[in-house]
Amino acid sequence: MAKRKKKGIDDKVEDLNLVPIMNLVVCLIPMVLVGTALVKLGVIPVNAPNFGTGKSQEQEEDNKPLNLTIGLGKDAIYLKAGGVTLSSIISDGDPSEDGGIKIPVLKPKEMRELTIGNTTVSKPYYFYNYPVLYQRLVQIKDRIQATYPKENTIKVSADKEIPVRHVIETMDLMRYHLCLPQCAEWRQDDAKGRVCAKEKPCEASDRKTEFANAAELKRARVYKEKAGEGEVEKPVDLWPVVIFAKVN
Amino acid sequence: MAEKREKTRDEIIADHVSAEKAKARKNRKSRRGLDGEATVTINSLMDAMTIILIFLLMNYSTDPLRVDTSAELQLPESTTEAKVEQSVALTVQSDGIILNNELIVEIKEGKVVGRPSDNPMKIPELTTALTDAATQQKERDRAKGKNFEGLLTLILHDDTSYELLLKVLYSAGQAEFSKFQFAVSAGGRFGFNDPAGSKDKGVFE
Repeated sequence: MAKRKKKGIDDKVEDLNLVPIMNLVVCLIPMVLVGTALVKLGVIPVNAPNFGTGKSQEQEEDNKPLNLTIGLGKDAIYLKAGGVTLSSIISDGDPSEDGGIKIPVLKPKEMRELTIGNTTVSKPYYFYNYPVLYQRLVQIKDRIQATYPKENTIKVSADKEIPVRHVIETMDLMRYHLCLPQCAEWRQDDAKGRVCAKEKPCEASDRKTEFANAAELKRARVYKEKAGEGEVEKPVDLWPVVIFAKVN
Repeated sequence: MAEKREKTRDEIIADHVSAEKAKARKNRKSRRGLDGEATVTINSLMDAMTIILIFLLMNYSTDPLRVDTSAELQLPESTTEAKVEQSVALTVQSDGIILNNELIVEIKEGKVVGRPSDNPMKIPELTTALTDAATQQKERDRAKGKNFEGLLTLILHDDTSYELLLKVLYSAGQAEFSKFQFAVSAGGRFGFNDPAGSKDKGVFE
């Protein structure tokens, strides 16, 4: 400390200019928050359709494949199996021409308007009977258990105009067994009436094969089997492997 | 150090007094507000904001897939819980098919615009673009020491017709992509999902 500069009392102390840093912080943070919060993405893995040429998934080398096919038509869902006559297994369904079963739509197709920003788009909606579809899928799985024990593949096809949205809704239903959680508390909603306020997790007894209507189906959850110590709960497969088939 | 010991008591007092005066002057200056501005202690705010910013930027950049929805691209809803895997991403909007921010083909009224090819299931421009993308992906995988899996992420508009979907799948199959994953908006419910917000409770609530 040989020489110590004596600080003059009248030296002006400059304030740090924080405006650019605050710009950065106040503009960037909301942008990034909004960007990450907007869309929560998930994925659905699917298998390539077997067009007969090009690479595709290997066929399951079983003795006799069931070849269960679900077709989304304009006025009904058609279920068909290669190895079995479905209409003989499912006695309370609508039989369709080729031995399969048919699940008619609840209402004819409608166009709904959706306004995004300044544009209004018109989207087609087909009102498939999803509760009954789930019931049939579970019934088929139960009743062919003896003859086709390891079968878990389903082929999806649809009419040319069916929007992909319905294909994905159908695939959601087919993947796992569902359950309806019990309601611990009820509350009164002005618009909807009695609404479940607190759902309890699913037990084995909540596992459902039938949903009474679409509203009940909306409350469904994927049924997860309790595993032993140190294992993770796993969903129970219904028809998890989906292959897209060509429109016939 | 020698200087300090030699300071007399008077000098010490004088130093102290002038320091106090300087402090008082500084306080007055700030209280008087020469520029009309109030000073705010924003140290803690800056600390918090900086940490949040860094954290969010890290999160943002390590996300494998980001989708900007618009009127032409509304993702379908699904109940899936599977996580996105990093791979080549193909976007099928209502007005065109886009790969790596490049428009490959245009779509008008659900049909691809372009000259019809001999194979009605194939979209030639798409197969070419995807083959290039597949080559690049193979190089990337080789550099990382992995095998090329042929996984393609499809970001689809929810009104895409099934026919167009099959054409895209076929064209992608020709470009050696054999596994697909559909990017969907997670958190949907089972059954009919109506983003148009219908009030029709008779059938679907």
